[in-house]
Amino acid sequence: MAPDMQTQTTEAKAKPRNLLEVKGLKKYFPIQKGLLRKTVGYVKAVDDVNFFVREGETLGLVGESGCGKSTAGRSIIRLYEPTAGDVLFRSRHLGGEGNGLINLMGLPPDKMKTIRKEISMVFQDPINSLNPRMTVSDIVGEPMFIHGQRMGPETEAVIVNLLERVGLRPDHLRRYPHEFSGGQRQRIGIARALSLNPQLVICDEPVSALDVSIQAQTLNLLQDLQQDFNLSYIFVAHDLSVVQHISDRVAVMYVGKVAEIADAEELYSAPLHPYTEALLSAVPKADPLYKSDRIVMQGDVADPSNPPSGCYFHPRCRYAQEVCKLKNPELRELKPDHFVACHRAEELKLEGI
Amino acid sequence: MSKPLHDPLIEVKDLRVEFDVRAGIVKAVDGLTLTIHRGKTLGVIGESGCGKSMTARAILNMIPKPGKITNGEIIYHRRMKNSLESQVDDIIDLTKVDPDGKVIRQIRGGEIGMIFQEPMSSLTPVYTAGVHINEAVSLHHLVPLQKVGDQIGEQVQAHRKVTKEESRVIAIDMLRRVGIPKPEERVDNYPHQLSGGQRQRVMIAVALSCEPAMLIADEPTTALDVSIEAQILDIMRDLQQSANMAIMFITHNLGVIASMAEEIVVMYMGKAVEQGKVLEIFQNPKHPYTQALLRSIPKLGKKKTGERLASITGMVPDPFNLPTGCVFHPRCPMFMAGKCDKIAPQWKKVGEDHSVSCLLYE
Amino acid sequence: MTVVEQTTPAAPAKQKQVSQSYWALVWWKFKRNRIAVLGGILLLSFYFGFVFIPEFLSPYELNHTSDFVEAPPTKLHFIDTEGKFHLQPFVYGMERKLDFKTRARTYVEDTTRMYPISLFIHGDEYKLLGFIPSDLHLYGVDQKANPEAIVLIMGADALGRDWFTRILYGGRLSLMIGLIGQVMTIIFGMTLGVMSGYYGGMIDQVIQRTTEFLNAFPDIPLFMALAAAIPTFWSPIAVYFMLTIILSFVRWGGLARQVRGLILSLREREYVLAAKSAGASDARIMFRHLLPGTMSHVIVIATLAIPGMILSETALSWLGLGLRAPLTSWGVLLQDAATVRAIHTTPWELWTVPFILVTILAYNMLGDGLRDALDPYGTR
Repeated sequence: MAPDMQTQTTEAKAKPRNLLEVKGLKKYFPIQKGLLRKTVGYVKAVDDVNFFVREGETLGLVGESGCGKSTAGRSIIRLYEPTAGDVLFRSRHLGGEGNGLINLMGLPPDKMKTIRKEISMVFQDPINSLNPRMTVSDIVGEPMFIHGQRMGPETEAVIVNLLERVGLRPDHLRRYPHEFSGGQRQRIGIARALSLNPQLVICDEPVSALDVSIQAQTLNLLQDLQQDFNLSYIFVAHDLSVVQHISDRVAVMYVGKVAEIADAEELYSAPLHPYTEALLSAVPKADPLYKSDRIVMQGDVADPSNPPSGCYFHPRCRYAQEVCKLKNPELRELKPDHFVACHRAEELKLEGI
Repeated sequence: MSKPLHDPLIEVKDLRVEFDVRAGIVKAVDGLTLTIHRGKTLGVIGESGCGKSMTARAILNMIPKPGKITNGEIIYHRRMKNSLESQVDDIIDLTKVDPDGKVIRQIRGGEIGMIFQEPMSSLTPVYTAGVHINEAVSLHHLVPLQKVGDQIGEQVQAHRKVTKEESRVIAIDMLRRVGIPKPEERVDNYPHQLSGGQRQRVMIAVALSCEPAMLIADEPTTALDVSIEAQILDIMRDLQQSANMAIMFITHNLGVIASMAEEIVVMYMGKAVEQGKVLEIFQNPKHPYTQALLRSIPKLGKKKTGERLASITGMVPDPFNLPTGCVFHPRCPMFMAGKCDKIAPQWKKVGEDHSVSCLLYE
Repeated sequence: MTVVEQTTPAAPAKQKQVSQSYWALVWWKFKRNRIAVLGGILLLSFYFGFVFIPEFLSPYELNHTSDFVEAPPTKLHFIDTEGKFHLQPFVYGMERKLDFKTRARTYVEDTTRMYPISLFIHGDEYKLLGFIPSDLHLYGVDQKANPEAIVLIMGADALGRDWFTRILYGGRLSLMIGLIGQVMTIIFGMTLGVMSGYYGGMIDQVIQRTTEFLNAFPDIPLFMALAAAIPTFWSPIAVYFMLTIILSFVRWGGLARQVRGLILSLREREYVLAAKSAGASDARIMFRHLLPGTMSHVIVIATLAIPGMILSETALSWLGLGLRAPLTSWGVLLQDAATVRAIHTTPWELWTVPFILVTILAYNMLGDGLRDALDPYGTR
């Protein structure tokens, strides 16, 4: 745990302020069994996660399926009500106490609604994320409508502007989602996310379902929009190369916990966590000459409803020792801006790419 | 295996697969020619809808309705197992055999195995019900309520006439070979008791249990995590070497193909646009589409801040309304007006074992 | 910083395909199913004819009694006794005879009296749709000129009323009870189903247990118990509405369950999450995003359930527990024809049955067609 993360880092350099701080975030899904729906256990999808996002930067959240990266993203804006933890956000509309940050947890519904103008989401599935019964204009305009803007020529002009901004034509306005290709649908989803002029956009696997060429277009678009609108992104994905490409900083998650957070370049070139190292090594490189001593992780990702003792990664870790089975490592700042949760981080010499 | 390069197993010649649907005719595969050599891996890459999966299905004569092979031949050099090498191969044109007949049933699963990304959804519609239960059962590896051991066992039984006890031993052995821990126990497990990676391994075990001459792997690791993907790819490479099996590896993931394939075919809108050795394709790509494809993937480990990806402009064209001339011309950065939109390019050899279908080189 | 480069449409921009909404696609596919279209046309004409203009279609007013008690259908003639052909069909006058042995009434045609049947003839006065006064009937004999003439194409009942007229008027109540009852079922079933699926937890438990409780009852005894509880002194119209409510009350459970199931799957769609993340209220998510997604299924279920509703009314009325005279519904008419004696002496009173059958068949044809059409994107 790193409750003093923010103070340390802000002292280090004149880096941009923190826009979002996530502290001790937990989301447990109950497992219910039997006629009376007795809770027999919990899936610890997100288990004590800490990170922060600076203004104007992109934080990549990467990990294998079931590591809780999507759940973490959704818990931040309380799409899933978190079990515990704090989410501090620098709102433009609502003033915070002291450091200017406001805690989203326990915020009354009307204030939370205001916050939803400032944090929006882009989803993975280009088919499922758009309501098939609504036209593009309805879909993109919906957030504005929800926040009290009536449909009319002015609103429509805003929508047209957004569509053009994401690379769609104004005559697409009256069309339905099924008439578009996957890449275009994703653009519609991006236009919707931008319609209320947010500060932070949580992108939940926005390019995983797209073809390679369309993926590149979409990534470029996201980067352009980030500069134009001064956006911050939380970019959730499982593809390490995509995350590296778009992120300023990257957080690696494993079974509900953050294993490592660092500057993207540093994390990829000099990882401090054995899981990061193994993950990087496992990615197939688009270079036939690249021959590495690939680290093959044994076994499967741990079951979040029944995680191993100590460090969750120890059964698959080639550096595991006795202490790893017993004690759960805490996330600590080993180098400036480089956080890692590993008992042996100091002594290990790990290889990056 | 005296001359491995000229020991073809499957030769696809000018293959056309068309779908006659309400809105018109879709050319899923349009004049494709390729060769798969014994014991080698051919990688087929392309984006969704480029016809790579249909090619694989055509080889097994399993085109789903309303699709049809309208032209071309697929020559299969059939070599009986346990036969001497000097023996002459049987030559079978797979497009001519009865799609429900005995020959193709022996070939499917027995001599050419197949693994899918999603076994359940991609298989069901292809088979006519009840006609060849054995085939269906053996290919439907993960039928619920069927034990893992039974499934592999059925496959073995269907093709080889062995006893139940023998097939169980083979099943356990196969599970061990694909790296499933405690195969003696796992053999009695139901599919829902297995994780995604384990299920894919069982699928591979099923496909390989009859020691096929070729394995068609259609996006076998796309649904898997990278750590599991690495395991599966390792297993496939090991098994290929020990069994001298050819692999047709279909994927859109350039990283996977670079580490698996020896030869590569790049497909776009039902046509092959470039083929050659893996090194040639990656280091010296000739076709603008291949070049763009390679540039558009983010490279791990080589990052410049704020760098933009080179993307291919525009979208995949409407399959009912294909561009004239070269199908890639509307998106091509090297477009030559008056030429690319008029003339359909021919194959041109640009190096040893490297050819391209582009007017730039003609 | 130009995204424009990426927008270049790859396919030629002249996409002739016009934007089609979901319902436009449904309609396009539905039109191609001839059987379903036939069912739909039949139903439309039935509803139009029986509900809106039975007064015009029938030759008489509902309570137009006559001396021709239990008269068999009158025969239409084109050729008279002299072998002369008449372009305009006519009926002969009828004379009642009493067979003294069997004490049975018989009617014989009096070929000396000929009454031509005319279209658009003036007869009994009525108010079309309740407010347009008229006396025009589709067909009939001139009552003013020949008061003793009568045309009974489906015979007469024990009060000498034209049976065809009664079927037309009876259809109004029977068809409406199916429709109104089903609309109420949809309102009950959808509201409760959506709440059940969306909120889950206690609300879900209560609603689900209630539907199970209702479903566990056998239909007919429950109807009987509820129908018997309607006070006898209520006006027939009040009984009618009470019956509609009872029918829909018993039947909403099944629909609520189906809707709940659909909501459970739709609830996890990302577009619902997207709306939620934009701050949409529960009501907006339920009614803007979830309910429209269930509409297609609900319409099919409802279409296929209306016949059950109509049959329930018929069955209840036939048992004497539903509508009662002086109201006229198909169930009431069947009740008239319920005895062996009636079937023996007045078999034409069974003319009600084909009308019920055709209605039910038409609903099923329409429902099946809708089921196919409402999934216009094909199997996905």
